[in-house]
Amino acid sequence: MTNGDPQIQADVLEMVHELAEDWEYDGEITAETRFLQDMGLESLDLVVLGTMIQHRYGKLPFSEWLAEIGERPVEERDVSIGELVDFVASHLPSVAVEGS
Amino acid sequence: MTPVRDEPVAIVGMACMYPGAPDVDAYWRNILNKVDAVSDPPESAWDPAAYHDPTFADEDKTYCKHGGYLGDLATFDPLEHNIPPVSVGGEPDQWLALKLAKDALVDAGMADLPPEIRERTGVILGKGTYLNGGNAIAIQRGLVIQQTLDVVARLHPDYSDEQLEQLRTEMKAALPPMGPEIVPGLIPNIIVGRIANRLDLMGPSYTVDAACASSLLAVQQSMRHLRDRECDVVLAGGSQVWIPIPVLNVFCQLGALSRKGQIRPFDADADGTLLGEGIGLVVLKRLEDAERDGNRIYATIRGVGVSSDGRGTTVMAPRVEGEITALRRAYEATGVDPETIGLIEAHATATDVGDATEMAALASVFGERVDDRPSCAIGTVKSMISHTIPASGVAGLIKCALALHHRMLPPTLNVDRPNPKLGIERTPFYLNTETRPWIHGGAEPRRAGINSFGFGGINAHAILEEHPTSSPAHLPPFDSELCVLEGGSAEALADAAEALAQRLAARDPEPALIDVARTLAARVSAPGERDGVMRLAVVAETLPDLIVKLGKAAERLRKPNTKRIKGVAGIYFASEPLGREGKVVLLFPGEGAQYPNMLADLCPYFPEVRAAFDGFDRVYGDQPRPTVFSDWIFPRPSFSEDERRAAEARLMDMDVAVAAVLAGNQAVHGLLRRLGVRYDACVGHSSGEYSAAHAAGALRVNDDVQRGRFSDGLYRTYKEAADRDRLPRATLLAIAAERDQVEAVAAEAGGDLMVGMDNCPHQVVLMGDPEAAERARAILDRDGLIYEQLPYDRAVHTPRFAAFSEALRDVFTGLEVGPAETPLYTCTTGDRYPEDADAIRDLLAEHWTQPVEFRTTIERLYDEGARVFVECGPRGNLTAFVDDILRGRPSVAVPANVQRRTGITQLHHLLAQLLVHDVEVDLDALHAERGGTVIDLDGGRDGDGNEAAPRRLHVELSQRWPMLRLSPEAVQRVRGASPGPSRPVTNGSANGVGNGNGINNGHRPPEPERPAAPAPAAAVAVAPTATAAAPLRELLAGEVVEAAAGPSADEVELAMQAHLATMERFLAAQTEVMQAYLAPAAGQLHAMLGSVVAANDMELVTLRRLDPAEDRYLDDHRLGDALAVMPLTMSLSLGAEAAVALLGGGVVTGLRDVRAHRWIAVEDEVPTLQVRAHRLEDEGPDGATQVRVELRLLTGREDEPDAGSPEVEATVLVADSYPPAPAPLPVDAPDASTLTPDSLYRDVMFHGPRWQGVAGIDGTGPAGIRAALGVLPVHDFLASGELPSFVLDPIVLDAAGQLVGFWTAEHLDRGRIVFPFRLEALDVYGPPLAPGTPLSGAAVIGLRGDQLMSSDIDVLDDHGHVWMRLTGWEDKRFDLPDALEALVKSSRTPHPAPLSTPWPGPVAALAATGREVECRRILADLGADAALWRRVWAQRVLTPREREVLERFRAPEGRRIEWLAARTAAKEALQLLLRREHGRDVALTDLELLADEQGRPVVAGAGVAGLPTLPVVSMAHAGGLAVALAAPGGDLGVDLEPVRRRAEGFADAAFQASELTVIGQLPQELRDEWTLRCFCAKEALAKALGTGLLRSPRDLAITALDPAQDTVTLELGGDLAALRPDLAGAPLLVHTVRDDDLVVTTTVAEKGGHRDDQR
Repeated sequence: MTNGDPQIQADVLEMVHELAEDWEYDGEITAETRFLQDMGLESLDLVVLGTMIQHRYGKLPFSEWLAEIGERPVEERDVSIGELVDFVASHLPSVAVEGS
Repeated sequence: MTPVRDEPVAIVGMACMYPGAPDVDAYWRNILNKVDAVSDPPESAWDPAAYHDPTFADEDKTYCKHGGYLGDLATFDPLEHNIPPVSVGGEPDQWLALKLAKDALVDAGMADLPPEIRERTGVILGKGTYLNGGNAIAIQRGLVIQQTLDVVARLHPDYSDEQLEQLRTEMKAALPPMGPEIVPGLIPNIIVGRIANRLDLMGPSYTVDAACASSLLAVQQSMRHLRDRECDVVLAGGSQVWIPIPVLNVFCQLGALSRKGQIRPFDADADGTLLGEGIGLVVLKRLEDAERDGNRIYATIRGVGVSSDGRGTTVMAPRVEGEITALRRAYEATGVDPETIGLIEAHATATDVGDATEMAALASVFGERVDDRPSCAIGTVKSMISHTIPASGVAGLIKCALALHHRMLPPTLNVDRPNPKLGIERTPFYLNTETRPWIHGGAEPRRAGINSFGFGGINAHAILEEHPTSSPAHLPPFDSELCVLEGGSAEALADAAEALAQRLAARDPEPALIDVARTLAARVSAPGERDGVMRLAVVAETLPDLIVKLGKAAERLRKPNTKRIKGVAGIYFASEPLGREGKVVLLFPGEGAQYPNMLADLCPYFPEVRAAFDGFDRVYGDQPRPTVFSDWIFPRPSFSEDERRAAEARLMDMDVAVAAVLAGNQAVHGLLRRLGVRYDACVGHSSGEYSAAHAAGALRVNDDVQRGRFSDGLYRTYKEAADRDRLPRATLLAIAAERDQVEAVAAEAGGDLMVGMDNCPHQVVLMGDPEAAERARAILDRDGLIYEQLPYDRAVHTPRFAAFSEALRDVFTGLEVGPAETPLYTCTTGDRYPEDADAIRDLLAEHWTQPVEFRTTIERLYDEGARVFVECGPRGNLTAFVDDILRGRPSVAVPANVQRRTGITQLHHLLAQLLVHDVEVDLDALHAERGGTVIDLDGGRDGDGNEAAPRRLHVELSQRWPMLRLSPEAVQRVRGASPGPSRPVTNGSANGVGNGNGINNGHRPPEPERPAAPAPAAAVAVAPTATAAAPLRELLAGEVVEAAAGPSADEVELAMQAHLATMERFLAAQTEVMQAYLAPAAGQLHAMLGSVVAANDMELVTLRRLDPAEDRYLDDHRLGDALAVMPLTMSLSLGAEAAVALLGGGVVTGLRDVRAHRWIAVEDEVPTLQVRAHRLEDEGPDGATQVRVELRLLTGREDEPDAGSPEVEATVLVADSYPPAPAPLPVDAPDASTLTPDSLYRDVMFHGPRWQGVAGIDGTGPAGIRAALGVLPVHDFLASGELPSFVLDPIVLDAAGQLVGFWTAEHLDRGRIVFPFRLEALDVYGPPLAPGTPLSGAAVIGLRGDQLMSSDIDVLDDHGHVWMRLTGWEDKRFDLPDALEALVKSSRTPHPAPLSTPWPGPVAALAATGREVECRRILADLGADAALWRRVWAQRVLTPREREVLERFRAPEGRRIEWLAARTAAKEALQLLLRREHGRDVALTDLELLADEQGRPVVAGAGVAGLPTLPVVSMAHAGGLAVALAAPGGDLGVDLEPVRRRAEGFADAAFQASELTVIGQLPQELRDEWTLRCFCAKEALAKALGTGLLRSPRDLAITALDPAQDTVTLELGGDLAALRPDLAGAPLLVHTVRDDDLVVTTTVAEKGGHRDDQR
């Protein structure tokens, strides 16, 4: 796991904020913060977030990644912010599609 | 009466103490939480160093030290049982059993049994006759000592007879005496005798010993007494407190103890048992009596079967036939079928043979496993607490009773791999290693069996059964609580949250979170009264968590434009509640929502949840299916990953999945209904539609017949379709895209792909054959659409399910349906359900062939006004769909249950959101039966009369063996016995070996009453406070004390007196010895040092009681003429005397490093002063010998004479002669003083004649003072007339220090009260002088900041030579508030200045009606050194008995001072009244304020003796102010409250609706203040009527308010009306006054303002 690309991390956090609407998470947000267990999001929210991320960065192998996560033992079926940022960073299309 | 042989007996009360669990609550909580309470032996048990040998090379030791120990839990409060603390010794179990017997009766609601029942109440306890403390002492004293002496005599022929006799004496001294304490050790029956005696029970009381089976034998005997009608109630149980080493040893010899130190019943790695301590007791009654009396019934005992092994292999080996016989007898006698047992509490000691034999016996009685389906949980609490031998059976009995009571299957610990040799897999049993709900669909009630098999071949088996009516008790606490606040605005809520957080943080002791939640819940406004009300809801796990969250919430609420808070941590707020206008919709999820163990943790708290699963089991049980339905939801613990996965997979199979989710939905729906959650519409997703239809009243499967038909129909349809392969398969892809996009993908992919569910914008489910799905995947990947394959393989909600749907239609034909009672929506049409029955049935079947149009349906509901969506089922998937559908629109969706939070916590999050959105919820139902109470959250107001809680005394009961061990001193004494004298030293490190000074006394002083070694269970830990127990019975003002019956206080006092007398004799004898030793060297010891308790070359320790009756010099040194304080200079003189005595002569040439740490103040209790002088190695200045002296006040701590730092310490310099005097200090004091010799001690200082060493002030200056001093006589220092001569004159030394006080009086405006606390050096240049010798003093005084002064002072003889010099004499300075300055003034004048001031305002209205009521007030604020001044004040004002009450009043200093101030104001008001009415001049201490039973103050004391009618007083205090009224008679009441912001909901909580209406008629701006006036008025009237605080708000009703007259009119109701029929129904007036920031109310309880107190 890398230290995370700060730009991607900022983007992800902004999108999480947008997604969560009025949900508040008042704990400290770090790379280890998990979407479901800590921030109280639903797994569907991860899909929505994936859609938003693709909207910005272009196509990413989200489906495979989510399927992998679904294979994990119940208590580990979650994604941390760092994990998501790393996923995006390591699969970023060589030519990012800016906007749409 | 003929006994009824199989008559059930009810368990109606329980109490226990087992390792890690002081009571039943903790015991049950530990069991559910799988707490392993096994440990090393604690300090209080045995010493492993002495007895533990892991190699077992020494076969008299034990290789195993682990066990279940009670340790610190073994304490006993004798006062609670009216037992003198000094009597609490001997065997610990007798005291614990007594405590638990009482607790068990209290638990049964039988704290006060009527005599006719007590007469027929028995006590039967299982108890072994193992080696205990009592018989150990007997053996040691009777056998061991003599044997040891014989051994020593043979080993050491050189030992003289004197030495051997000395050794005998020392060994005896090291052991506890052969007193009455050991009797219970020798006669085990005392344990029950004591219970019968203390609780006055007259049924049979005896112990039974059947080894490990003892408890159940006791139960069997108890049942006989009940069935024979010989008893109506029996306390039964077992006791084993302290683990006897010989028993451990025997178990080691047998190889029965675990070498691993673990108890692992039924595990493959089990290697033996562990022994433990504990006591359990149950209260038993005949079932019919218990039902008739409305007792809470934990469970019933159907019967106990008992057998012996007969001729087995050996007497110690278990025999399977014997165990089988016990089991058979139990089942035959009761007619219970073993198949109906759902839980076995096994004996299971974890020994190889024991466990195997037991399993074989069980298998023989219970038969083989059927259908590969185990049906009965098995386990043992021994896995948690170890084997408590005679107390083990009742441990299992209590556990099973609670399991039946809460319908929970408790876990067993330490099984990782079941022992394969037991063959459990062939039996009906399964090892239950997890806490699981006890779901039960059988026709018979839930039942449990308990095995208890004893060494020696005695076997018992008990059968327990659930009782249907029992309501839960001993419920474990919730893991979180819901706290709700209300307010009119975000700002108001922020204020309320902050105020609450502050009050909670300030409360000591910390209130229970459950009580806080309960109290706040009680304040939540009712529907219809909540217009404009906003709520803040917080879910908190602990009180600190709540405080933090309240703070965070307040912070958020204060931010402008905060409309809504929805915090994951559990903070919720909505300024525009959506539930007020919007509709609430229940969403029922379909298959896929179920998960293993869903809702399990809600079952114990909410019977509805469990009942839903019970119902499904019941209907399944009637059908020929090889399964218990709930087994799939709450899978039996499995021991392999494969088993676990298989169980999880089965839960996803369609038949199980649909039934499971329907059961889960019904469980949650039952819960929401219990909690009164309002809902306006229902809708189900997929198969959840059946739940919705049921909840809405369209599908009427409301009884077992209908439910059975439905369940069976669903199953058969599924089964037939599956058998004929008519359940078309498909791949399901959940695609994150809009529907048209998904349909385009389907079209492009071709094949049979169809949309089966349109859940939300980011999830549309496409279904089709695997090949088509594969093509769709490629397209989705190409287009970058996120998708997920779902873990189901049926083409549900497509036309391919038509056959299944048609078959299902027939099932619905046989079911009752009708128009929905709650609007019901269907995702098949996106519309409401039809009303026609057939149309309903069509739709119920048809939905399997139609896509689930969830998105459309939610949009439709939203259009129709739905705003709040509650997911009524497990997991919470639908909530995410709704959020996605309604993103950006005002709405709230929340699940009742999610997998990632506990059931309770998520429920709280749900209720929190519903409450902030103003959806009706019945919070009472949430709190029902959980034991929370409404508390006073506004804090700080306790009325007079309920402040001090009775003091607790905890005697630690030692479980440690009496050790025959000699102290090093004793060894020395023995060694030195023959040749030389001994010089006993009882304390300190100094070596007291004889030094050959020729005194051979040949005998030791009498033994002190307390033995050197701790008694086996002696009360060595009796807190010092025990001595103050005597006056507890007194009913004194300001304290409600339970009247004690029987022996108690007096006995305590007698015992203490006897103890003190013995101590005195001891001291006297010892002093004689010491004096003899000291005599040649030092002459007579100074009288004021008292007795010597230890002495040698280096150290001298003396003890003396400081008794104001003898120590007359104290009389002239009283602060405020009240509190006697030893002058610091007297302490120094005594130290000097001790130093000279130690050294045997010399002159005192000075002091160094003097420090006074605390006051040596003498109040009611006569303290003991200890002076310790210790010679230092280093020489002082001019070759002087240095002796460090320490003075300690041993008030109640004679046991630990070296405890803590000394009160005063100093180094004394002793030399052969005085050094030459230096030149006098230059002192600049040119000005004449205003102080005349007359005024010195009258106006400035408090010293009496004995200490008036200053004769006149010669001159003063800005930094100096000169004065004339004189040497005063000391002939009347002691009442005994003994003439103390001092090597260091304390009076002159004090006079020198007083110069600072006189200077201060003239030169300083503030900080005029000065007290010395330090002296750097004193140098003395001449011998003490005769009385009458004139001296002079000169001081150079320096101020150090505001609070310190440092002075150098010379005392000169009449030749002007320095006789004494004080260098660095330091004083602390401070002030008293003006109002209380009288405290430092003399109170001995005829009319001392009062402390209170008149306050006519509050009684002006009463005066207008001709009443002469005195009203006085005091500002009760003492500032710095409050505790000291409170003591001074109390001495001036209170009687000794009143002071004791104050002393015991454990409260913050401020509250104690208010309490004292209120009494002062009352007494001073009485003084005036008595002078006015009776012409009497009465001292404050001649008035005593007692309290009657209701806590109302009653005037007593010499000051009112002989009066025809006693005057009356009433007192109140709050916020640092105290007020009191006094009147010649009548009903008088006063109350006082500071005007400050009250918590939200204060009015609603304090008043009834009718009263709120009265207050509501006032103009808006008056309402707040008058709300407070009304509250205050109630308090005043309640006090006037002598009922103390109001029991119920209904007791007093406000009927009218008159702001013009400042009056509140009230009427009596409820209990009060019954209590005072003379006033019932009449309007009663209370006068109210607003004075600055205070509201004061006064009343004479008069009818309508007309004088009417001529009663």
